[in-house]
Amino acid sequence: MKCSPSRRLVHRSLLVVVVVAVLLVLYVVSPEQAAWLPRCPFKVLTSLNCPGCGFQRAVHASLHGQWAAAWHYNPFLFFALPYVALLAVVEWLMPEPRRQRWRLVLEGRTAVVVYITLYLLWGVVRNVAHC
Amino acid sequence: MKDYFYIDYNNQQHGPYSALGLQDAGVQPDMLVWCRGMNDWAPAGSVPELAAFLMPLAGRSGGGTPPQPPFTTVDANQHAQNMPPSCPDSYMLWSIFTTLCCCLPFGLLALYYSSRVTTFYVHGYYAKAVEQSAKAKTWCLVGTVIGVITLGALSSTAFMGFLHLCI
Repeated sequence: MKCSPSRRLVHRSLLVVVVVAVLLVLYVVSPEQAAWLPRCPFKVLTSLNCPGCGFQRAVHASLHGQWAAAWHYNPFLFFALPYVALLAVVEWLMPEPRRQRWRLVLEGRTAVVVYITLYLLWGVVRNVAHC
Repeated sequence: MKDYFYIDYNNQQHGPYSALGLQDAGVQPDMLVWCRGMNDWAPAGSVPELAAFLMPLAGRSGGGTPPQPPFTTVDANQHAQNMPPSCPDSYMLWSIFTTLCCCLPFGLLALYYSSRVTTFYVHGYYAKAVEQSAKAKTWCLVGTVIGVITLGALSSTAFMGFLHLCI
């Protein structure tokens, strides 16, 4: 079952609005000080850092230009978020013949294996090294 | 003998039928039909093979966007003969979001299926690609829902605990 193009446009517009709203919130609010921001369930339940932990603090720091701090909170995001941005561009903004070729590379087995490997490695390393 | 699919006035897809079967089914010239070899859906009246014997009724037009032309067999050999429908959504973005923000294990599972969508599609296994796409979407949904529920449960506990401290 496929969405019609107009419905898909609505979904994507909503998504953009939500992302912008989240960025605004994270710009204004410091995650370390606001108790009402969501906490990582994985961390609360296991007290281990999941690969995504530090996401909010990293974004907050980046939005204020504090790149060193952002890197400190979660270096993996410096790989993952550009990848996500690239995926969004390819999926939504690229015209058809090029889009297919890019998708093949970005979403193919190699790319995903690399992502999952780095993701899991990072998950292990951050918990072992920062013990 | 060609197999035709048609879409009725309720935007429901039917088929496959032979050309004669379409006539028996009461397909109207303004209804959209598709068979292997056609680029896209087209009104039955514009298809030479069918136009000859379709009997028009007082016209109503079918509304809405027709679904993608169906593939009846998954066969890489026949890929060359067909105009393939576009690649199904891989839900890659959602999968990665799930791994980073919601629910680790289900996110990874969704990512696995997402990665297979494009590969299957490009090799001509459209039905397989659609299947992987559906699985990716399912696990993304599961992961996100579980993430939200867990988050809600934890937040409310924290909130309740916080209230306790105040009162």
